[in-house]
Amino acid sequence: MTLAAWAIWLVPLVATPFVPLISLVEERACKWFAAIVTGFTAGIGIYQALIFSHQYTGTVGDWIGYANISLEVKVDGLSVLLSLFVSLLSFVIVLYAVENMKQERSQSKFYSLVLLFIGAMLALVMAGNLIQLYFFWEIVGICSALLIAFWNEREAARRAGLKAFVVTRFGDIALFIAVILTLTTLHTTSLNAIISTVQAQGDNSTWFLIGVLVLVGAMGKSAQVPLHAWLPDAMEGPTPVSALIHAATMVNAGVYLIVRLSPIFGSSAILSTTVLVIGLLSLGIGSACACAEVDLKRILAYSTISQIGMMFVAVGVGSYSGAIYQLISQGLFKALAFMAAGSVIEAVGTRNIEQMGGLARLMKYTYIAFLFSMLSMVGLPPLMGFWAKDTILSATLSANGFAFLAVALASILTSLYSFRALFKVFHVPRRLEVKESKPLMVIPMMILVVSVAGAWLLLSYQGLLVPALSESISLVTASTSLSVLVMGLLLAYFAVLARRDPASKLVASPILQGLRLFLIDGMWFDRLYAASERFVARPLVRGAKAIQSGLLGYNMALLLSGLVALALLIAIGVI
Amino acid sequence: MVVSDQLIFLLTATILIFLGIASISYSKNLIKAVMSFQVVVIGANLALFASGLGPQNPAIPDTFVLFSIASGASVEAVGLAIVVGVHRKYGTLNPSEIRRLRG
Repeated sequence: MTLAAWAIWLVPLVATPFVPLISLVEERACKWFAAIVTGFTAGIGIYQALIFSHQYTGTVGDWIGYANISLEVKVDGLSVLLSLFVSLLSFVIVLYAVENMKQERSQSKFYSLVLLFIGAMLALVMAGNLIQLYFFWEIVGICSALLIAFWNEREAARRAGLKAFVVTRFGDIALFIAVILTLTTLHTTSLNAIISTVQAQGDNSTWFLIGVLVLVGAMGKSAQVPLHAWLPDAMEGPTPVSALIHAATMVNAGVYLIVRLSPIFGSSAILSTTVLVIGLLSLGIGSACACAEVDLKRILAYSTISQIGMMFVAVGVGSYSGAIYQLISQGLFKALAFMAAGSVIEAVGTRNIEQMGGLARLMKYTYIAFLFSMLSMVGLPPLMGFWAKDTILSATLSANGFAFLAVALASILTSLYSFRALFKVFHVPRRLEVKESKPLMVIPMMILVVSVAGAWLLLSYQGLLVPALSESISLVTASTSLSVLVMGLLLAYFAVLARRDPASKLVASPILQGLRLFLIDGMWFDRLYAASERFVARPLVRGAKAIQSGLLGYNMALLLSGLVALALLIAIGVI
Repeated sequence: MVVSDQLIFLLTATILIFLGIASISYSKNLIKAVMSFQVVVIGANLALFASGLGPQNPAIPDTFVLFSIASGASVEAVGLAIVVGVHRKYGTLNPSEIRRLRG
């Protein structure tokens, strides 16, 4: 039983260096090798979920001996559920990539990075120790940046990879400080010890500070406002990468971390309110920007920001099960949406939805996939998205009336942009010469269609999901979510499909056009970053330039004097 | 104050590191700079070795030091190769005449 918890992340990690070796012999073989390894990992994930009976922590001796840090795996409902989810989804997406990426030249680079990512992501989920978690947290970040810049001959892809790396770095530094603070106050970073100490001590200024830092780390990884601007640009990467990393798994790591450390966030009212506000901001900004965007993948990226904002809202009002439920549901339908989008983009040859249309009859399977994904996203009962949204809505209703109203309003936007994308890609009459994708791309999509359609049956499986989910639905939340769905559907219908009516005139009005440009520009967050670069980073660079004389002797003398000063400070006991 | 073996080793290592950095700073020849750099590396290795001295005396620091010495040799080889390249390009080995790295 313990073996499965170790093997699930060690297998992909150990398999990673073999991918380049195999590609030396046979370039085409490495994709099948990756598919076999992820399939095996998914098998371990299923096995682990089936035999799961009680939670425990597996420890292996001293990892960093003098600091009393050991290598731990934490096996409980949360980690088993998420590792099952990640391993199954990565298997399906690697199968999809086999066909989608077959034209690419550097196969071994792609599959070795993907395997490294999957191993690190599973290790992050299973980690029972904050330092271990941070280690794999960084590895998934690096893999993400490298895979965004996979087409490194493109300027835009290189810039996007760099942007993702730099923006998430702010969050990672905050998380690192939190880890060090935990280590200095507790002398251990084991998650069990942290949680039991927090529960014993309650609200405490140290834990408040650690909570704030962990929150900043989670915001960077999960693309929450104001550290969200890297995610839409990350769509420059290959579509399987967008589906795996930037929709389903890595961007959810922040939510996972917060839920893991939930006693810290639950003990302080200020912290949970901050999480709630950040979630609401991301929910609003993400869904508003998605309404104006014309790039299909960027629409999905903004939608990811807003859906993760919903998870933050759930955490903010204390519904951790709602957040995890939304995480799984969002991961499934968003991965499916990206797969369908990849299939469409490959067929049409552009990502601009204004140049698409009428694909419903030409690409039936892709249409079904995208339709199911969007229906789950807007929360049509009985799909999983409905239950997730219902759990969150009822939690906000009982906690904070304003939050309930805001989530309901944002859900109208969610419904609007989902149906807008669906109509523009598949229904607007346009003659295009396209064919359905190859079976190898269709089969993974159909697997996910089945899971999106049937995942709500997990509701009945009490071993993994927390009991709160089995609550019967209330009339208020169900009617709210259904009415906002219909409102968004009608808005999208009048804005996109219906012609010869005042709606098109309204859309063409200067105010709405100005708003559209503002939203397409990402609400000027990029300009904010540029301004901060000009007013903060440039002066620092100028200052640093002054000490770079280019003379070896001068530079080394500076280093030496610094060392001497440090030694003197230590000697007289200042440090 | 008890002067243990470990303290002597650590003090020697500190002196080596400081001397190495100082002589990189003052050398007028890049080959000498590379040699001084090796002095710094040796000081660091000695510090690493000294940190492992103690009652339980594990073999791990010794292993690290051996590894570090091996990689240090290759670093020196690369450094000298770069020095040769610099000499071909600029015709001089005086670091103060080579100012391409100025910010």
